[in-house]
Amino acid sequence: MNRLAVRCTEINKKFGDSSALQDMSLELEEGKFLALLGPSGCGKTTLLRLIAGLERPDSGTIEVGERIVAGKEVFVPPEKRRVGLVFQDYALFPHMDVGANVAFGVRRDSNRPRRVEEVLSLVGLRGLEHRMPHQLSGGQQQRVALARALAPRPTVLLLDEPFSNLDADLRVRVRVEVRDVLACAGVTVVFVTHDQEEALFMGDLVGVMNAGRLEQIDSPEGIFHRPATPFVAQFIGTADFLTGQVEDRTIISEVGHIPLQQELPAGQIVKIMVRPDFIDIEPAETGRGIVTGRIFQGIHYLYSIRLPSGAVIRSLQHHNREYPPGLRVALRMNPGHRITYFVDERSAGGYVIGSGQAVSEVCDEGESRGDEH
Amino acid sequence: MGIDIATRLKEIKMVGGPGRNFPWPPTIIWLPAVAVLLLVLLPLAYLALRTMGAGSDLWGLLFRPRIFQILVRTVLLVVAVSGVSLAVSLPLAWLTTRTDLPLRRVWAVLTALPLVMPSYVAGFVVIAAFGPRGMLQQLLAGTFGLERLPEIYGFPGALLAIAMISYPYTLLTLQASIRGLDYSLEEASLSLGNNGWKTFRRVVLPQLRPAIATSTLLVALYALKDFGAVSLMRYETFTWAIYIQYQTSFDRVLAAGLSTVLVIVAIIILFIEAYTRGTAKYHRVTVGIARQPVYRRLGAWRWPSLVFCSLVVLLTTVLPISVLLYWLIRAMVVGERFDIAWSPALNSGYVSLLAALVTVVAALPVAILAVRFPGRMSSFLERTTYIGFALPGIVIALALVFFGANYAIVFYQTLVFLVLAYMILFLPEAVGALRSSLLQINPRLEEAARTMGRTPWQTLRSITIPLMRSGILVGAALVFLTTMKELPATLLLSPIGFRTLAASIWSYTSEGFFARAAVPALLLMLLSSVPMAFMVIRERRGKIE
Repeated sequence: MNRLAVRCTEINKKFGDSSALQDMSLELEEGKFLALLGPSGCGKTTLLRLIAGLERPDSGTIEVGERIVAGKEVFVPPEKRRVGLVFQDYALFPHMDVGANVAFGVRRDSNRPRRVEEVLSLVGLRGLEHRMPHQLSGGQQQRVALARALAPRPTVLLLDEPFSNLDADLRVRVRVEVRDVLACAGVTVVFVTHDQEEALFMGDLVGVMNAGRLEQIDSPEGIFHRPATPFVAQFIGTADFLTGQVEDRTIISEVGHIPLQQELPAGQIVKIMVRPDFIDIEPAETGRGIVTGRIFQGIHYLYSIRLPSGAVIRSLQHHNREYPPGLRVALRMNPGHRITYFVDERSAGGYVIGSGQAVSEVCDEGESRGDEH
Repeated sequence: MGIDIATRLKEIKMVGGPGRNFPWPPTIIWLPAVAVLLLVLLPLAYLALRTMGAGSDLWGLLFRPRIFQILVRTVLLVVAVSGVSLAVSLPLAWLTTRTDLPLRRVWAVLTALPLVMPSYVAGFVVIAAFGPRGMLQQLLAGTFGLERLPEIYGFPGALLAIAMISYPYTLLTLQASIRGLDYSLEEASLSLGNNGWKTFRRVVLPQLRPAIATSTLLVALYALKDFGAVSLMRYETFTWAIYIQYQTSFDRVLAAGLSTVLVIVAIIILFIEAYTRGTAKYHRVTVGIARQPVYRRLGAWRWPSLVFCSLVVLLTTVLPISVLLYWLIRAMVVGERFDIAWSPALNSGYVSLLAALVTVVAALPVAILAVRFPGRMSSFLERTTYIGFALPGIVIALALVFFGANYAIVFYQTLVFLVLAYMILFLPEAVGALRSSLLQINPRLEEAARTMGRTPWQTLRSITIPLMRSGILVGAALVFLTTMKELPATLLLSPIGFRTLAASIWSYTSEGFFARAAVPALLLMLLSSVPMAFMVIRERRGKIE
């Protein structure tokens, strides 16, 4: 295992009465890129500020580069941590030109002008040293902020929603650039965002936070396919939940019977996650579902289907499959997806639907349906 | 004065604490801030000790018939000044913002001009114009053989002089408030069948009530604290009585008693003001959605309105300038020595510059603490620095005189004490200017500097102070301006032989040497208009940006 760049152990932080972080623990290896994802107010920015030393934890310890920077009786001020921070609004010094901004954190004894040139060419802004921040476009300001934070060679670089101030199309372009620059610099990065697409794109690892807690930390694919909690399932991608009951090593649900992978007591109620692309629908007079809504998304239609229990699940259909609301439909599972089920808000297991291996009948018993597919 | 205090109080409410709870303010910030706090508390503590020292005599001291007489006279003046300035300002404000009054903009500028005049210059102008053997009497004596005019000394003169220079405070506040009104409310009222006058009474006036209340109370405070005009007019209010007490009998207990009552009245006014402001926010209209108002046609009211504006401008702007120029020419004709004004001018400039520097340096840690480390302690500290706003100059000066003569004889009668008095008096202005510029600086900038290896002190030097430059300049300009005009502290605390413009004008006028007073008066206004112009230009540029 590589050296650890950041380690947080059971950090707690309150602002007044409201808890911003609860028993937060986290480890990040050197050179990795961690994207922290969560709704606004989940404590992700607070975590960054704690690592940077701009806030003090109430309890718990923080290590940067295997040195304790905050803990019982220890508090290393931000200027002594070697932690770079790129602010959401960039925080470029308005009274200094680009060169001075970038040189700001570089020690005098090291070869300052050369380092400034180096990082500026890394972000592709060489030659703009004498521009003032207000003369730059949003994307350029963003890159100056990045260069400025990289210039002192920090142990860890923290980025706080760095793309949220950019236009949508610019954002996509800039994030590719930034990922390349950071990979090139070989720096350890903690990146905060509320945009799931951004997190999945940027991170070697994605951490999902909710209400001051870290719900899960995993690879982007792991987070998507094997969500640890219903919150993660819902936050990454779209998910609907159905209630099922354990009976004889099988979960009985409205969308079918799912073989259990482990022991669960009979009668146990579980929560089953279904994503819209798991579900296929077809008009059928005797079908169990009723189309209640339809959203046109261009390539796809997203249908809402009401089940007999009243639960509503969504199904993604190609744009050429146009069904009117009120239509009765039969449902079945598309193969190749992993259905995750939860007990007590934690993942209890999952089952991958195999091709042809039908999760048993979804529709009314009497309905005839071939086992093609 | 009134206006920036108002905006400042607004800001205090606005601040939720952009600085977040940074561990603990660095020593470099809180240590000087506490030192400033102690200095500011000095006169108040002294006053309290003195009054307490009276012990059981305290009540006897405070409830003397003489104090009661002075109180009645003071309240009379304060109420009259506030009333007059409101009566003049309300129609003026309406005419200059909402009607098709010819030359509307010109009137708006002319009516704000008296702001640069100190009260003793206004007093001088009034005496020179309407006093015995004054310009008006001589004019009338020539044509009508009139020997005596109604007595100008006392109440009428004090009222005229103070109202003349304080009404712009009310006027500017009202103009701003009327401009901020949402015109669609008036349209709604009109559409509901209320005619113009009814709409004004039922819709506009209730919305203006908070602005009327706060601006009038600020003028009241101004009148209460004034020393220059009442002393020239020999109208015995608290400030003048305290000065007499100090000059003649040196009865410290009585002087302290008078000061205590004065401070209590000032604090009462401030409390009422704070209370009305508290209710004011319910009336405020969101800016930005307001519809462009229609300028009302004056019609038959056009000529009366023009006459009204002309009279106000004639009395408050044309008259002072002509009186001063007249006496300047007289002085030149009779060969009055002009050099007498040079050394006071230099002294005034020197000591004001010193005061501006010291005050801004003292205000810096207070403002940083208040904005960046919001909390109970820092807000207590900041509010304490507003003591200067509640305490009249004469009270602070007197407290420092007593304190210096007894405990700090080394500094007594030196510039140190004079500058200290100015600092205590004008600290609120500097803190206000600094805090509003600090509020505009994103705290992330300072945090960015910290994460890049700078200590709090280095961050302050390389980021915060350079970015606050404009606020620092405005604060210094304000302090410079008010120090130039300040009279009682200057009179009581100046080292022997250190004569300033303010002191010269006051002494020449009170002795009737109008020709000699005219030169320093003009010089003072000229010198004050430099920082004033600087601030106006600054503000205008700020708006364009």
